[in-house]
Parts: sequence; structure tokens; C-alpha cells
Amino acid sequence: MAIFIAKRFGLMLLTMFVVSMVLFVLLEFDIEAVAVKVLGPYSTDEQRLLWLEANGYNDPIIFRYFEWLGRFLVGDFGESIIYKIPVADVLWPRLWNTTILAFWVFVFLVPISLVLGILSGMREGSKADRTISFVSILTTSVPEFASTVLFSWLFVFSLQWLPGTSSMFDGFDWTQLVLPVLVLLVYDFGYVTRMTRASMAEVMTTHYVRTAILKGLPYRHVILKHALRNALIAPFTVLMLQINWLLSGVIVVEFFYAYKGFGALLLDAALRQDIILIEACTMVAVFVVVMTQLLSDIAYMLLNPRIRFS
Amino acid sequence: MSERLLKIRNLQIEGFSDDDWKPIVNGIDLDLNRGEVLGLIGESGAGKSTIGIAIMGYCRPGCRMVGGTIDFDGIPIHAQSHEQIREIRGVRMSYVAQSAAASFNPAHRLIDQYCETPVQHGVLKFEKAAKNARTIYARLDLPDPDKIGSRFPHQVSGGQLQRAMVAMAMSCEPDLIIFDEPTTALDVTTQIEVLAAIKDIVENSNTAAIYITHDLAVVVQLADRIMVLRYGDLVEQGNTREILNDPKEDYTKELLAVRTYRKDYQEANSEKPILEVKKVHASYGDSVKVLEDINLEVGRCRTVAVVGESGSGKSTLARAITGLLPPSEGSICYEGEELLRSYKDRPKQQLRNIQMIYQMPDVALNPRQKLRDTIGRPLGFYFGLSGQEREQRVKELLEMIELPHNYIDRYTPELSGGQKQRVCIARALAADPAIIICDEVTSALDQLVAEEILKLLHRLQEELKITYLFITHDLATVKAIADDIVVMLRGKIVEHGEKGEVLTPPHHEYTELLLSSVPEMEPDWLDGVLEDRKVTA
Repeated sequence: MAIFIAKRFGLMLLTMFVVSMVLFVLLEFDIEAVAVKVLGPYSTDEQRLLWLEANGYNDPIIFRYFEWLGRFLVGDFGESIIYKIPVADVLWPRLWNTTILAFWVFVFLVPISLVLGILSGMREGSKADRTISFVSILTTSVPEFASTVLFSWLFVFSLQWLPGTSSMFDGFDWTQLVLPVLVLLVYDFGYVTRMTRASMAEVMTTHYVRTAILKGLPYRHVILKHALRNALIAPFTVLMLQINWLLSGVIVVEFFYAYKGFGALLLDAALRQDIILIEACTMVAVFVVVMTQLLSDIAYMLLNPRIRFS
Repeated sequence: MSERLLKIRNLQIEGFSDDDWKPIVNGIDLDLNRGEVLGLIGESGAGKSTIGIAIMGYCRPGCRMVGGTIDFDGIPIHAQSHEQIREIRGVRMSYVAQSAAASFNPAHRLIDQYCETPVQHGVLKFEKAAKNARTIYARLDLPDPDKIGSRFPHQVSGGQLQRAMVAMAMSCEPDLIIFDEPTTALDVTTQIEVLAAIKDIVENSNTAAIYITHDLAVVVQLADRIMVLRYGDLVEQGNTREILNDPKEDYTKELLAVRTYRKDYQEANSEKPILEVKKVHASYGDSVKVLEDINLEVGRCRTVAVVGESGSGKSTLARAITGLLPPSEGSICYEGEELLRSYKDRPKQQLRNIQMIYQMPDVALNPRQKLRDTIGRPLGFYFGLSGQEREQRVKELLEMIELPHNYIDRYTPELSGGQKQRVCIARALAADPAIIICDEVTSALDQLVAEEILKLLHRLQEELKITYLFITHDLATVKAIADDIVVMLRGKIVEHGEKGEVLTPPHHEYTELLLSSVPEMEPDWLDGVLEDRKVTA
């Protein structure tokens, strides 16, 4: 098991290494473009040359890459072009805000989608199953940009219950968090529910569930002890993937509600060609992705005795 | 002792298929006394398993009981509520399924799965139940009975797991146990252990049992009485010895005569062997060695049977010969010419000469192709046939496998299991091969159907001078059609020779074990074998 984790960890480092290399080559191979992006389109050729010289851009790319990587490893991400402050100073607070958002989405997402998925997978084709399936397909098929508009109209303009923006200028305000969480939740819970349902329905048809029923065990016991244990393995992996989606896939929601999160930062950096910021954001996102993968692999192993004790 | 335990009258069950309810069981009557063992015999589709679980008040999804009464010790099972039935299940009647590997929950330890029945029903406390479990594990001859319970299902062998399943069924000392093909998925040498365990249970406790199987030789070892079923109808019933010695119905006679088929023995010819396997080693990955130093000569137009239990490497040998798994060492020669290791490098001519037929015709055939394409493909690939010519040849091949011409427009799901296997044979024949490797081609088929396939293969051999390499775990099949026999154990050949030679004593130790483990149609066979083994041990 320790060997397995070590192997996975090694693979994770390798993945990050490769991604960082591709990223660096893509963004910093053409050094003149870098100079234009940093100094702006109205800078003169001379200024650019001087800047490149001063910042060591005339060294071979391999050399520059390892220098960049070295600084990255000690947490020095360089200075943002658009914000003119160290990247770390804008990146960490933004990441923290998105973490808060993702946390609250998860607090509701996990119980709602698991319970609904289990209820509908338990008796495939039942009334409960069809109702839940209908609702989850419906909510999942409404894109976030549509539901943001819809919810704003309903809660902000018609009912006037909630504020329409979530920029939190005056410190943390939970009322500003409700709409972004709601939009993400409504969009995502159907998907996780459907995945849980599929897994549960499959387990319900296995021979060991039939054995448990023929042993005369109470239905509750059959579900909780025999079905759930094996049915939850697949949804766990799916839930881990939702973390990645919440980190960088929430651009629409953060942008719409002016929520100062990671997704909005990434969008900003991309639109305004802040390569230093793009590099940092991408590496953070990649790190989160490989970490969640590692975690779900380990959890998969712990949940499955066939792997744990082989 | 002769107290009536179970009385079924006019049981009718329907199953839903092709948008309609179709009868599976048509009004069966069944009686069982306390302590009695009843054998339910029949081929697939006879409705025997359906009856078995209906007795427990359960219908598979897509099935429904439409009529009749099931009276279990005065309790009308057919009229009970879910909760009332639940209280009977596991406590007063229990069920042993075919595949213990699939029927144990992979996530829980054996002992927990054993104890939950008595604990959940409030019959025993966990400690007491666990103590009983250890006693019964010991009684069923499981290794290390005190500790085996703490293992997970995947950590014990197939035969041990099946015995643990029998133990689990006994956990509340039920009045009735339903055994549903409990040894069908096992090797013969493992089957005998499980049969011994079941026999011990049914003889030494006052538990009644219904033993469901397609294999008469197995059921006669255990059953007092036998019911023969076909397509949901009762064919015949009677005492075991009566049925064996004096069957009334033709169908029963056919079932009894199965496995007595023998093809005429063919004298060995002195021609050069058509296929030679020399010092072949093969492995999966770097570490798992599956074949070690295999030397084999296959004579022209002969049937060489490769016998062994699961994991003996017999299918891997087929993969090595066909180049699907290139051997790591050694060589394979066809007509004296060495074949390239991987099928990818072999020229068409080499590929054409060696064809394969597989165990599961369902999986080996594309369900979305008509027979015209399934059989026609190799004709196009190897001979460049197309259009009218190809159509004509496909029809000839259909004739050879005894299917009508108009089947050319059928899709494979419209065929029966035996017909599908015939199509696989036709597809192999389309390449006009010299050698056909048959990998367990009759294992997934009912016995009567399997016998037809064996006869067909034999006829084709005589007509077309084909050489067969026949891989099987079933010694009855070997006796029926082999000219030469190769016995494999753990990746090595332990015995090799002409049929007469291998089957007459003295045998190699392992061959002896295999041969003596094949059940015979003789009620005293099991006792005899167990007695012999005790003496020699």
C-alpha cells in the first residue's frame, strides 16, 4: 500500500513536471511576445530589448525554465503584470474565496445528491426514481448562465430577498454567498445524483444483494450494510472530480456575481494576457487536480477490500 | 420422519420478455417431507431455479407468480406479506447459490456474513453464532476453521467459498435448504469436496433439501427422489434408483444416455505431425509464468484433447499456438515450418490454417451482424470472395453445420445457444483450416446440445480431414472424442499419450485424481470415492 501511494505520488509529480514544461514553452518561448505583454503594445523595440536583457530572457530556454521552476518551488511566483503586485498576494486570497464557495456547495451537494441517488437507485423504475431522475436531468440541462439570470430575476428583483452581486466589499456577508452556491448546486447535484443512482442500481442487481434478501435480513440492513458500502465507491470518485470543476469551472458564476474567486482571476489573467498570473493559476489548478486524483485513488483502495488485501 | 414440510400445488410463474408475459413454470406440483432430499433436474429454461427461489417467496425481477399455492409447514408462502416472508427466510429456509464468489458481499468478512442472519433475526448473539460458525467450518473440512472466518471472500478459493456458503445457509439450522447448482462452476476435484460437505449436512441433520442441477450424475449422489423438468413442465418423477434403472419417458432416457457417446477410435498414423510445439514457455507480464516447457506433437486428422482444471494453462497454450500471446521461449511448427511468434507478423496463409472456436458463442459473435456477414467475412478476407460466389459458399457452410439456407439473413441473437456455436464452427470452417483449436466449446451448452456439437465436429473431421486441438476441463467430453490426451497441471504437461494408454491404469497421480473425481451415474459413487480416499490418506 505504501508502495502504491509512493508510486502514485511519483506519477503525480511527473504529471505536474510535464504540464509545467508545456505551459512554460507555450507562454515564454517567444520572448518578444513576452516583452510586448509585459511592457504593453506601445513600448519601443529598444525598451523591449533592454527589458529582456535585464530580466535574463536572452538565456537558453532550458536554463530559464529551471530558474522559473526553482522560484516556483519556493513559492515565488513572480509579479503580476496587471496588478503590479506579487502574484502570491492576489492568488491566495482569491483561492481562499473560491474554497469558501466550494465548501458550501459541497456541504449541500454531498448529502442531497447521495441521498437522492440512493433513493432512486434502490428501486429502479419506481415513482420516486422517475421523479428524481426527471428533476435531476432538468436542472442539469439548464446551463449556469441561464440559471444565474433566472435566480437573479427571482430572488433579487422580484422577491428582493438577496443582493445581486457578491463582491463582498464590506467584508464577508453570507447573504452574498447564497446565490452563487445555489446556482452551482442546482447545476451540479443532478449529475452526481445520476451517477450515484447508476452505481446503486447496479449494486441492487448483484447476487450478493439477492443473497442478503434471501437471508431474510431487514430491508434497511440490506441497503445500509450490503448495498451502500459497494455503491458509494463510484460516486466518491465523481465527487472528487467536482472539486476540480468547482475550482476552475465556475468562471461564469464568479463573473456574473462579481465574486472575487479563482475562476474570475483566471479569466481576468487570460483576457489581459498576464502570463505570469496564468502560469501560477494553471499550476495551482493542476496541483489540485492531481491531489484530488491521488486522494480518490487512495480512498478507492480503502473502500475496496479486494485491492486493500491483495 | 415422514412429516410433510412443503406442498406446492399448480405453481405458475411468468417471465417478461419481448414485450410480453410468457409462462416459465406451468402448474407444477411438488411435495417434500422433512429430512428428504429432492433433486430438480433439467436443462436451461426448464424453470428449475425459478421454482427454487419461488419457494422462498422471491421472484427474479421481470418474473411474477400468477397462480398456485406454496404451503411451507402450514404457512401459505404465496399469501404472506413481505415482512412475514422475511421472518421465515434465512431462519427456516435458506438458499445456496451457484456462484459463491458473486453471492458473498466482497466488502465484508465471511464470519460477519455468517453471523448476520442469526443476529438480525434475533436467534443468537454474535459470539454464540461465531462459535457455531467455527464448529460448522470444521465440520465442512475448511482449513483453519478458527481463523478462516476473518477472511474476505476474495481471499479463499472457489471450493472453500462454496462450502462457506453452505455453512452460512446452516447458520439458523433451517428446515429446508435450496441448493441451486452449487457445484456447477467448480472444477471436478473441487466439486467433490463441496458434494461431500452437502452430503454430510443433509444426512446428519434433519434438514430437507431441494437440489437443483442440470447434472444427473451429481444429483443421484444426494437425492432420495428426482423430478425431471422441461420447459416448465414436469416430465417424470420418482425415487432416484427407479429413475436411474427404469426411466419411463424418452427425455429422461436421453438425459441418462448423455455422456455415453463415443466416437470410433482412430489408429495412430505414422505421418509427420502437422503441429509441433517445442519447449514453449509463456507468461503474462514478466512475473506470472503460465506455461513451462511445453512439448507437444499433434498428428494429422487427430483429435488431441488438452485437459486440466482452471488455471492449468490450457487456454494459454491455445493463445500461444495462435500467436495471441507470443511465447517467451520455444517454437511452434506447422508442417515442419516454424511459425512467427506473434499473430501480427504471421502471413495470411499461416493464420488461415489455424482457426479457433471459443467457449461462449454469445460473446464470440457480433450480435449486429447477419450470418451472411459473420460467416462471409473470412471468405472475403482469405479468399477474396464477394457477391454471388460468397453467398453460395456461405450457404454451403450453413449446410455443413446443419442449418437451413434461409438462416443467412438471421442475426445471431435470433439463434439458440447450440445454433450459435454451430455458426462459430462455420466461421472457422470458412477459412478452410487444417487445424481448429476448440477452447471449451461445449462447456456453456446444455448436455444434449453439447453432444450434438461433438457429433458435428466429428463428422466434419471425417469429411474435411481437420485436426482438432480440443481444450476442455470435462473428462466426459475427452472420453467421447479424443484420440490423444494431454493432461496439464500448473502450466506443465503431466501426462501425454493415446487415449487408451492415458485412460488405463496405472495413471499419473494427478490423472488418477481427475478421473476419480468425475461423478458417475451411480448413487453409491460418492461414498465409494470418499471411502477410497480416506483409506489411502
